Amino acid sequence: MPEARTFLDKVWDNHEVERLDNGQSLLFIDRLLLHELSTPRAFEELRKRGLKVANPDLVIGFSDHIVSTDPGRATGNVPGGPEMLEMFRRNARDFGIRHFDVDDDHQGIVHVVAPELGLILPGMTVVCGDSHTCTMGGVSAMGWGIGTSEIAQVLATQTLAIRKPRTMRVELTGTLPKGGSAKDIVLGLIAEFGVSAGVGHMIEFTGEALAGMTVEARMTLCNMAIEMGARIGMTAPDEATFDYIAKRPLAPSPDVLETLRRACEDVATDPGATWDKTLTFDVSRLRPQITWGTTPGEAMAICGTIPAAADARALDYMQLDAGASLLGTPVNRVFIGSCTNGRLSDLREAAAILQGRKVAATVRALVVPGSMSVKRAAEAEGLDLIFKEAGFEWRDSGCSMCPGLNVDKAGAGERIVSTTNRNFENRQGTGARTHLASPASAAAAAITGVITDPGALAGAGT
Amino acid sequence: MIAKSSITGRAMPLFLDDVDTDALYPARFYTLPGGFDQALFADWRCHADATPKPGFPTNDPRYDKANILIAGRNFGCGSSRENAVWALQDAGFEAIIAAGFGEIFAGNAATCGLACLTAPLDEIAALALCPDITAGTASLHIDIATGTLMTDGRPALVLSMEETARRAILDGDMPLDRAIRRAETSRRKIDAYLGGQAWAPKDILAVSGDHS
Repeated sequence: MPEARTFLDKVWDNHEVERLDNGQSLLFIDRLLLHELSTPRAFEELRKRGLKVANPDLVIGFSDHIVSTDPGRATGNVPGGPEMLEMFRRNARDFGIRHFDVDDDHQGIVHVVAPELGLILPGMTVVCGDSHTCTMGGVSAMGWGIGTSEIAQVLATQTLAIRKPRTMRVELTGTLPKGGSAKDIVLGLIAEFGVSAGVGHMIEFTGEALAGMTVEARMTLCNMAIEMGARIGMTAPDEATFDYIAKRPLAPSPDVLETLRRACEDVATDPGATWDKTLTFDVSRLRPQITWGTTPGEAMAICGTIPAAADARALDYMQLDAGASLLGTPVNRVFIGSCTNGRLSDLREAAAILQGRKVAATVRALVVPGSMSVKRAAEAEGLDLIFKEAGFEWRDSGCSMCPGLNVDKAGAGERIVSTTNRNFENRQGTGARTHLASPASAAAAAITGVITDPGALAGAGT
Repeated sequence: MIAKSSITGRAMPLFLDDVDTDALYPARFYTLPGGFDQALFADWRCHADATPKPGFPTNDPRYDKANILIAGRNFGCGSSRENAVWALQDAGFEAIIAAGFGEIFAGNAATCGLACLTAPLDEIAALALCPDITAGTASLHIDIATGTLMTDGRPALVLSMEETARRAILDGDMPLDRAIRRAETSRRKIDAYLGGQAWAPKDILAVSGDHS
């Protein structure tokens, strides 16, 4: 009898062209996604050796990191930005790669646009020079971040040599209380197990809490697998996955979808298969979460208190005290967007809180849709008016304040509630203090001007 | 990449956990064409007005010649930016000894020939806090094939290393050349894979090119 295998094992095995002498697998890569920052040297390397891109039809480019998000923008707005975007444009053109440029109707953050267009399908392998490629796990694809040298290898061969990580199951038990979101789950999970709990592993999320989760919420969950140390985080395909895929603008034909559905049945975890490690996390009493420190694992319930044994360096940077509550702490900025929380459902979650309310006079609030398609969809249902009437800036799409690459940055000492994925020192601006939270918690802070439990605002607008 | 069988030199302790790639290489330096060491630890090394912070190890004259960095757990976590590795190499670092690494960083380091070696946290703590290490006077020798670290007057410490990375450093491998050779040998299997896919890549390209 063949060995019982998990979904993760099967997707891996399906792409293994060879098992190499050194123990690595040579994997076929179904999609190589590119953005403007991590690619210039990879193309340079190809040019130097006179190489072509092996499979240009499996490579797709997205201008997202350094683009301006000012409405109607044409390019970047920091020194060197327009040049990087132009270099990417030229490389895509020279090597025959489809490129979603700044002025494209479908421009946006790579991890938002690729799945939303239907470019990513269940069971695929997807790599990108960006650590948040694990987001693709929300549509049941195996995605992971690679470096520039590895991009060159995939460009030249459409394959990548990589050692197979161990498998880890993260079982999410219970039902999330009303008002909670996937962001709260993943912050709670990382706080519980730590930022290196997933190192050396690929994660499959399972459990009751996942069954009721939309595909967009699953993408939020998988997006932060890397913040737990795991390069890959996935959910197995189910009806919700196929419903989502069928509605994509570039969805495969019904025949192909049917074939894909059968292929997905084949990659389902076998009875008796085991993971190398299993973690269990009960979400049934989870309160909205927020980070207090400078790693994504330094998170707590928004109504809780900072641990007594909190890291002194982090507290000093954040100007907070051990044992203190965060509620009522004044904030200068609120950011809603990013590959973690820049999808339509995230904007709806924030708008439900903001409806009929105003941003506090002391807060500068920014909403940056994850793609221009998300922006149009939000405008079609009037969400833009809710944000604008509340006092939010309504921007064009890009990574914006998440990596701090364009002019959208916070100043030294400014405190931000941000729906992004990293609260590292200086990430959102030199000296900026980031608190990661859900769109609902970010919206609540925007209104009150202080860190606020969104549940305490319930009633109006929801 | 130059083949190396050993790394000899001086250490700089930066005994912190979770040193992320934003700290190693702040994103605003992405537009640099080279000389990546000017970005290394920029926000930890300098005040906002670009004057150096005297307490930070890279500003400490005792570590001027350091080519081996000693850190805590989960070094290089965060973003996939290979610039973090290039910055360390441009600043003269050849090896990082830590209690663990972010995986994408470790993969990038392996491709570029920056040695990532691990040991249990208590052993690293003992090493990082040695007076001659903190004084920058200790002479270190790492044998790549065995991972053995020799320092003056201390018992040898065996450090772990990912085997592919070890091989790459010993051979001075050019990963892109190797990848191309491998793809050529596997060409038939790769083509068979492509032909057997349920989805047709060409169709997707055609549609995605026409989105008016």
